[in-house]
Amino acid sequence: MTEFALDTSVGLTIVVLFGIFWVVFGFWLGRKNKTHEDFALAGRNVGFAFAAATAMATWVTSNTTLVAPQLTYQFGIWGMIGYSFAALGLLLFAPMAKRIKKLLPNGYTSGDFVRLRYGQAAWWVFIIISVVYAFGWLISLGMAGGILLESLSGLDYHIGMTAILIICVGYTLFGGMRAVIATDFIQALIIIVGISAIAFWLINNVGLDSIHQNLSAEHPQLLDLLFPAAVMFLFNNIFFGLGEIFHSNVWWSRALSFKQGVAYKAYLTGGLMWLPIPIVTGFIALAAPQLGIFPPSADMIGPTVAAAVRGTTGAVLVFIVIFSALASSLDSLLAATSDLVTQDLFHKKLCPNASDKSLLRFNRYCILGLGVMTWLFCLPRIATLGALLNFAGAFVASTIWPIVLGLYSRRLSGGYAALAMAAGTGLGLVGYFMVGFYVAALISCAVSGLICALGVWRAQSLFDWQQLNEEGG
Amino acid sequence: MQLPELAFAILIIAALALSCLTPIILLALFVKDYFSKTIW
Repeated sequence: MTEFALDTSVGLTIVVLFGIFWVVFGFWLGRKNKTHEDFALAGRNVGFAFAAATAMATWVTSNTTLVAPQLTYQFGIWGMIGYSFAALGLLLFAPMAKRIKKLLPNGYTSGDFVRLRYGQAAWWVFIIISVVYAFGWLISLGMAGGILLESLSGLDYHIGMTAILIICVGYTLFGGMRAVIATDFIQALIIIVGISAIAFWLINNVGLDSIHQNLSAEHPQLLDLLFPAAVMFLFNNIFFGLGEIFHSNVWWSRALSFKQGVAYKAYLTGGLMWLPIPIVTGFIALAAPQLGIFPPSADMIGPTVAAAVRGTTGAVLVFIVIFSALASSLDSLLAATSDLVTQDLFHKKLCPNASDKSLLRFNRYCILGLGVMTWLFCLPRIATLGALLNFAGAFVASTIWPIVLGLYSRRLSGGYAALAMAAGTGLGLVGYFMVGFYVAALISCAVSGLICALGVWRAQSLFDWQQLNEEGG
Repeated sequence: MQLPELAFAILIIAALALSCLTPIILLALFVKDYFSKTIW
């Protein structure tokens, strides 16, 4: 095998062909978009099949395909089991999605909910958290695109990163949410078939017993059920996953775009379909020591093993799988973040009388602007994917209790919600820098929870749910 | 305490079996939505 599993020309050809297909498909789907609601929420009419697929595919990101194997390689068996517990986020969001649809029949974003439920102070804290998280995720996805192309085909990091951003911005810009959800369906099929095929090849070529024996003899800590840092990681990852899903407009805008009666079962099905994926991708990494593979960068362990087992075919397959995983999340994040900026900042703060046409135009400019900003942040390769991802844990885990209590309890006020999110994030970041990434989300969630409990206990008034039903979005 | 070989095999095979079910479920749901005209 040469230094790279794929020729640079093959890698480029795949990117160009996929790029053309997705952009043309996005353009074709975008023909039906007549209003801003069509563009941002697919007319609030997405059926069960597309809804379940988009829930699963969006949650399968570069983090699942690159970071889950990386964490398995570092933390062993708890790395992959801990990662799969992130499915809890989708499963627990299922009843919340149903309630969101009921409480905010005219809502557009998670920001809408926080503004109406908690007021301005909490809204500002929430928007800062959302923007930090969205950029952290966007940058990690853009970087993953560049790293993937470079490590598999030798193509320069900057060219690969630029290519995937152009493609995703292209089809999201033309097709809006409809294109995002329809491409997610196809990408979900590609991802799941691809990773299953690689795992089957590994079992056939290397063998489960052989992998277990090698790990027992040479790397017993990877099979250790009492690996302390790994157990801490498991709990941290649960709260991180809950925070990511509960607060992010990626998931709220989907809940609002699904047909009536679909949101609950779509998130439940999506979560169950997602659950085994980190275990399958993590298993691929556990075969690395047996195959004598020790990659220079831990986040490339999955692709390197796949390429080693199946040569060029494996490399092409893993290339397409990770490309699809990246695209399925990048497009969702571009669409959801641009909706948040358009609805929460432009429409509600700057231009309340904006026409439907201006909102549609501004939303498209936003997608373009977000793409350019992500590209600029991705230019320097600033951190490993895992480190970048876990930094955001301190931010998002602080939103879990304010969101849950905001949806189900009338007792938590805006002041306590704002304080809970701000203090949770601050102390979570202290934990991140002073202890380690694996406690950031835990500390953030615990601090926020304590403040919320105090707020509920000391409540002076009860919230009126009718205030959430804002006419005209 | 190490994960025994049998438990390791069950974990991986169960995860793989669930993964293989996913495309079948998604395609079946798509066909159902397509014929009942409820895709969008």
